[in-house]
Amino acid sequence: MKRFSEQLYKQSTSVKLQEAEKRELRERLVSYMEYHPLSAEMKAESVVGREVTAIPVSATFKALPTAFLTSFKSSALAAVVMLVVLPFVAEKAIPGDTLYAIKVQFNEELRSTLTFDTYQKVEWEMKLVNRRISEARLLANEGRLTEEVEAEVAQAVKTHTVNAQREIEELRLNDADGATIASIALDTTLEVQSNSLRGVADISLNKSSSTKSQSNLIANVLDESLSLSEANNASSTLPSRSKLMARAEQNTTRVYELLDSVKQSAPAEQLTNVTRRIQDIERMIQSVMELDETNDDEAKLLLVGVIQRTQKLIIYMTELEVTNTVDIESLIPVVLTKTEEYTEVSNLTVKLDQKISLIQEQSVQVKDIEVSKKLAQSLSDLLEQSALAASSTNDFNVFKNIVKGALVIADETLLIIEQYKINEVDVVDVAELSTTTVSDVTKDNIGATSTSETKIKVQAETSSGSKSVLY
Amino acid sequence: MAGDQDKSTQSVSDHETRFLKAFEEYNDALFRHATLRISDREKAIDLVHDTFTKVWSYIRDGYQIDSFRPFLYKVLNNLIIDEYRKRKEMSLDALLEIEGVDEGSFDELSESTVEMLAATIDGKKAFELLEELPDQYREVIILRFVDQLGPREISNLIEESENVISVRIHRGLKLLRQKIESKDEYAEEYRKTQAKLKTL
Repeated sequence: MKRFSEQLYKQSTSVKLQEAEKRELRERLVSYMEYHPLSAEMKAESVVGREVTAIPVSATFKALPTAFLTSFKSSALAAVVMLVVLPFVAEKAIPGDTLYAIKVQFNEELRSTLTFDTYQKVEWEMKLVNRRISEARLLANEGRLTEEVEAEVAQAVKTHTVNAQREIEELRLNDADGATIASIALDTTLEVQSNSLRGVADISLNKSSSTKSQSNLIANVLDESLSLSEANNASSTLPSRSKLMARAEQNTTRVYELLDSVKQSAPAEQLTNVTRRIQDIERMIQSVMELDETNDDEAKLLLVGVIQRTQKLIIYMTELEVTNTVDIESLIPVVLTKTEEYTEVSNLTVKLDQKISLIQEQSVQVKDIEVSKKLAQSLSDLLEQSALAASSTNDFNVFKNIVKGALVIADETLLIIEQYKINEVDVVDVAELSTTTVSDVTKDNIGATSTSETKIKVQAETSSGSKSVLY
Repeated sequence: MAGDQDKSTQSVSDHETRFLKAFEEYNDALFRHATLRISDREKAIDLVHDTFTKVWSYIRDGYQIDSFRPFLYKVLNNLIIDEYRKRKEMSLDALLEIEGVDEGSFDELSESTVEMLAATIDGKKAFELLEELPDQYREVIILRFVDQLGPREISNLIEESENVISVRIHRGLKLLRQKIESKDEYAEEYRKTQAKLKTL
């Protein structure tokens, strides 16, 4: 073969252009080029570094060079539109929009398929729950939320939570700790969203019944899933301290990132609130660090608290509607520092003492024996509570409960005195009523809500003119 | 600014220099190919000229030609086909009908049998007989052994599968050998008759 081709090639090289022929051919070509020059644009163009390969085009394409090029360009453009622009635009679609299907069935499915880590899958499902709920809110605000869509959203929320729970169960097989942490996160999300939806329901109670029913329908689904999830986790033990710590660190980092990103735009008050919560969290972590191995369980519980708090904070900061409908104090109550607790203790003590002395002062003026008797009873109760509070300053929560209860009693007692002054005719009835209330309060040490109820009760029982007398 | 000026002066000739460089590089090969295909020296020069002016037009239309060789061969090949059509010595369709080369036997598809076959052929004699081959075979044999293109390049160029190319080369070589042998026989015969005549 070699010999053959060599021979053949050697022989063929004898066929060549003579120098004169070559020169003439070149001249013809150059003159052709001069008569058919390149456009100025092309002359300025640099060819160096181009990587486009000239495909040996077939005769068909040569006959229609422009059509081929144009069709290639337009189909490339179409592909870009299909794969990049549409999904991008679709991200903003809400149920009922044409592009919503692309968002849910292409973007989200793709994203979900590309997530391999089970924990991340759970997170993604949680994010989808949040998305569906924000969409529902958006629709409700625009008045486009029909019952049908409501049911769909509720169904979607259910599907996503079920998916998340399924992923958690899958995770539990290999990594029980991871599963528990994931379900803490999931539960927190469900809880926050449910609270937020119910918050909306309360606000819009008088506005439109549809918003309320929507919120409740979805909130019900959330609560249902939450109780299911809690039931699933009831048997599981707390994860190891290091894993909890790692998760807490991750969440804290995310919180800081979010804080950085909203620093410019968020209202000052919200920023102060959020910063305060972050400080609380930092202090909790600090106290976890101080706990040694003997207090492992306590540390774990604290860390779970940290994770819940950070999770709530993340949702608070990322979901605008949650921010607007939920009071941060009810979502994540402030944790007081020792100094603050001390100040609070002395404030409360002073307040209680003031009220007690006020009662003592005013009860002297009461002539009615029955009422005096009741007042004396209340006063002795109050003094007892005060003494009890003073002895329990070490445990702030116990102290706070006692003092709050005592303050309620004090307020009620003061109310009785006021009522007595204004409406001496009904004094006996009021005294009876108040005394029972006071003793209830004393027993339960209940908080502020019952105070208002009692107030309303008292107001209803007394004559119509008493409105202005309250406080 | 001065730098820009330099750059643009430099790039003015970018297309042109590349094109003229391709001319210097490939004019001989293209001329040889054309000559062997159409057996007409003057016409072959014209075809080479037309090939380059066509390619220049493509460049002017904004085509980016990265690799000149396959593109030049493609254009030249199309021009040669046009030339055949003009001559109508033999209709191309009829030519294609003569031999159905769509499927080849296993033997014909193997490159090694091509080598074995080629080893039995005298290259010098074969070159002389190229002209006598039907263009279908001449084309692939010239492309393969004169222009030294690979089977894939040839396949891209004449838009046939690589298998078809292999079969054609194989059959072309066989034909060449037959022709050489018959020529040798004829020469032998001729010598013998001459010798006989002498003795008489």
